[in-house]
Amino acid sequence: MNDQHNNCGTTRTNCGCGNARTNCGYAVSRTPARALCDCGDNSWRTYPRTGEGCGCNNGWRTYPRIGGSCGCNNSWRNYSRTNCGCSAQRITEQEGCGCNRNTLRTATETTWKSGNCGQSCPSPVCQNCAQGASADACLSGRSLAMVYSPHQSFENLYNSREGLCNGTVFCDLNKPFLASGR
Amino acid sequence: MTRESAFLKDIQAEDFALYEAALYLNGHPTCPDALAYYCQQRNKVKEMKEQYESTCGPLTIYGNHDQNCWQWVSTPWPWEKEAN
Repeated sequence: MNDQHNNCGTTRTNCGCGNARTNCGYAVSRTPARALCDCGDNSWRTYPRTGEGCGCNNGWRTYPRIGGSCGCNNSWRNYSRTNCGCSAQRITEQEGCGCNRNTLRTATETTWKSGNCGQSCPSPVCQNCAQGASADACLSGRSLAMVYSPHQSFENLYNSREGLCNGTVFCDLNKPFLASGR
Repeated sequence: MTRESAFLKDIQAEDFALYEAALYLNGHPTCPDALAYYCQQRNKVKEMKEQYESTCGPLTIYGNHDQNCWQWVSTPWPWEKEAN
């Protein structure tokens, strides 16, 4: 009796699914926004609908939907995907999956691409690193818990006398110890 | 510093640079710049050592060129004042 509705009662089937319905003033379910007579069930109600499907729930909800699929959860979310990313065996070439290491397919690759695994970076062929990009840019997309060491270039040399005094002919390797805090 | 010790210091510096190039090439064996630098330094050190040994005596046991005298014991030992 509290329901304000046009053509729906509380039990009519053409007034949406479950509790939530448009044009019905059923108390509990008035807040979920609904487009058509479907999604409005609790955990899904905050997720936008695309196409005919409902939004994704729980662990998937922060990831955008692609096509008719829901976003990918957890460890897959960094990889481009068409069908919710790749499984743990990401190091192999898979359609729609990025590399889970810092690997490039071939020596000519300069960026990490989905489904394209090859030589590691940093290397002379890694464009970002070779061009002296910032540490953040160079490390972008790299796996966690790995140690990365930039490649040394043959440049910035001292003359022989200066090299002997400094302990190295490479200016970039001249790292005098200054003690902590300095 | 005597003229000989100054010359020896120059040889040490050039030889050190040669070793640095060799260490770099251990990790970058095909680097053309490093290879060119290594060749340049090797020739330079060889020439300087030959010049030193012809005037000041051998630097190593391989540098004795006098067929009549073993020069190695004629020159000052490293701990002797004249050698420094």
